[in-house]
Amino acid sequence: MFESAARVEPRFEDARGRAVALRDYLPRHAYLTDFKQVERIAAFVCQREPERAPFRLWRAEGEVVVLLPGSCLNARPR
Amino acid sequence: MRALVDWERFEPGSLGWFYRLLGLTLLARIATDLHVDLWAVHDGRLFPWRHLPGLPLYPPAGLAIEWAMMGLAALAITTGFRLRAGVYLALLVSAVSLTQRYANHRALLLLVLAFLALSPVEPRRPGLSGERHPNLALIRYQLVIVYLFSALNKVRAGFLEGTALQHLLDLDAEPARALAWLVVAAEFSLPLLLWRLPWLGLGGVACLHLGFALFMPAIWPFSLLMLAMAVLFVGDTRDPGALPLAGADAVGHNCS
Repeated sequence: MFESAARVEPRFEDARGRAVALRDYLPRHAYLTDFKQVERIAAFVCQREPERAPFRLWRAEGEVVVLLPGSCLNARPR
Repeated sequence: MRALVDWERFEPGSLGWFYRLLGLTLLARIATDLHVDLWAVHDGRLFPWRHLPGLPLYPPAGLAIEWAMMGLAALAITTGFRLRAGVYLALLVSAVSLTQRYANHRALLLLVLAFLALSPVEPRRPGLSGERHPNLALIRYQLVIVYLFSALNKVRAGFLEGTALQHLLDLDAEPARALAWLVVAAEFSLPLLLWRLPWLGLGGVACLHLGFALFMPAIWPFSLLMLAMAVLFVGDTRDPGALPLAGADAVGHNCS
C-alpha cells in the first residue's frame, strides 16, 4: 500500500468564496492521493449541501470546475 | 545447517497464538471502524470512502449488525469456544463488509479466513504437530507473497525516492528516503528471516508493523493480521523425514 502518493491539496470554494475542507467530509485517517477522488468528494459535498452551490474546484492543471446546484455530478469545466 | 522446514506442519503453541491474534485483529477492525467514524459514512454525513460502485451502501443498522457479528466471531476465535463457527462467521462478515469498503488489508483478512475455513484446526487437538495442514500452509505462503509483491511494487512505483512517505507522513526528504529504503529492505528480507530464523523474523515483523500502525493508526488491524500470520512460522516444524544437512545432526548440534 502507498507505493506512490501525490501531494493532493485541493482548492475548493462555495458560492460565497469560502474555502471548503474536503477532508472534513472523509472518515478519519483517509488519505487523499489523487484528483479523481477529489472530484468525487466535491460532487458529494455539492449534493449534500446544494444551498452552498455553485462550488468551484481547482484541478491539478489549474483548470476550474464549477459544480452547479441540482446537477452536481455533471460538473462542467470552465 | 537446519533441516528442511515442512511448511505444512505447525506447533500447537504457535497455532494458539495465531488464533488469539486473529481474534484481536477482528476486534481491532471494529475499534478502527468506530475510531474513523464509519457510522457517519453509513448515515450519509461523510463521503463513502472506498465504497465499491454499483453495490448498495447499507444503513447504520446494517453496520451495527456487521460489528456485532464480527465481535461474536472474534470471541469464538480467541477463546476457542465454537471455533469453527467463529471462523465461518468471520469469513461471511468479512466478505459482506468488503462490499461496503474495499481495502487491500480487508481483502487479505478475507483470504486468510478463507484459507482457514477450508479446514479449521483446533490448536489443542492431540497429535497436531505430527499432522499436515495444507490450508494453514497457504497462510504462510500468503505472507511471503504479500511482502515480496509489496516490496517489488514499491520499487517499481519509485517508492525508494521517499516522496510518498514525505507526503503521507510530512517528513523531510532525507529521513523519508532512508525510511523508504528500510521498509523495502525489511519487506524483502522478512520472509527469509521467518523461514530460517523464525523468532528474529517475528521480531522484525512486530517492529515493522508497529511502526506502520504508529504512523497510520487506521491500519492497526493489518499490523495485527501480519503478526498473526508470522506467528505461524514459529516452532520446530522440521520435516522428520528430511535428510540432515551438512552433517549437523551427526555431531549432535541443533543449529535451528
